[in-house]
Amino acid sequence: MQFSHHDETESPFLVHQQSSFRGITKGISVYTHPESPSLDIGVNWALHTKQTKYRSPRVYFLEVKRTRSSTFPQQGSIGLSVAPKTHVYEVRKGAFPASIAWLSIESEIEQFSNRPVNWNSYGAHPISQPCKIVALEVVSLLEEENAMAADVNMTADSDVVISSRIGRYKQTWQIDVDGDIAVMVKRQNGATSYYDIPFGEVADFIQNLNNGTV
Amino acid sequence: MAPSDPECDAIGIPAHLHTTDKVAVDVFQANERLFRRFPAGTNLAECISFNRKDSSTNRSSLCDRADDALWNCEKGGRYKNFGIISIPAKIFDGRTWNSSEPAEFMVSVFHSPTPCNYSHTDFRVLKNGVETDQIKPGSVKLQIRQFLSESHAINLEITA
Repeated sequence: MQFSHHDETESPFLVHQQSSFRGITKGISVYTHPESPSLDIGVNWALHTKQTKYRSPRVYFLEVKRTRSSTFPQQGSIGLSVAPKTHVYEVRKGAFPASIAWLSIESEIEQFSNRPVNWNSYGAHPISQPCKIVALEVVSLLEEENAMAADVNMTADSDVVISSRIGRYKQTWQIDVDGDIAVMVKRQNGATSYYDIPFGEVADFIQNLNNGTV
Repeated sequence: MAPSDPECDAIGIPAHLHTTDKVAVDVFQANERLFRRFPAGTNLAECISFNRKDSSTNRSSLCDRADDALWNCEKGGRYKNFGIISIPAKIFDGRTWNSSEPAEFMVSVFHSPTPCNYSHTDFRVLKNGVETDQIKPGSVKLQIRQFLSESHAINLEITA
């Protein structure tokens, strides 16, 4: 995994973060305008790779309107939503914490299993062993078909959610506390289908996606 | 001035959140929203729980502001390093999701005050009209989360 971090220190709240792993580059730029407290906070987020699967960079832009008119806090907590991913950063004048980095998918899944009980303050548990084992296997099977997992999240219900792409098919995989697998497949024309897949049939399912026969 | 509960006063919860002798209000207003805090790194649609006991939100009509969701209404104090999202309280009204079994799922929102959080609101999931604590098969939960993430119904609340 490569990781680079760069602070644009000439502007107190302008920060650029970039990291890459497995050929995918994720970058996030965050800026505000301290001279005008009513201006929006802007976020640029890009996910791109040189792989032919992603023919052109995908860039998302979202403006988050501030809900209060007081001056932007020099230190505090803000949440930035870059659909559908959300990050919350501690804001300090001139710098973001350098600890913001992207981990490998497998490491993130491992971390999900090490979270403390009540990690979200509403009583959520770490992911279960069956969930972890199945999630790691799904990632491995995706890699075998040259379809890397692009992102992974954990839900408040202790499910693992993995985003991936095979050719024209975007997928969202969900592995729940029992290790049960569901997947959403979104085709290029926007058509979306949902499947519940027994563990033993995941490899065939991914192969069929690769062959365009799902 | 709102009547207060001495036990909630003792842990520093503001009086407007104390339930005292107030009863639950079943009706949600059309423009009402539900606030929920989330820790760093959580996808918006994924920070919502459909497990009734963990699904807690604060209804906006009974809060002073979004960051009332940052109060720890059981032990006192405020959660730090959390963001707050909001969704429309009536987002799930009239919507159903189907599985191949076949079964029909609904999500309902209900006001469930706790002693120090009158605004406390939970979700319950109904499968063929009967409450269930797990959404199975998983594809149904995936559909509900996808609906939330694509409906642009989730707002990020930023409090200075």
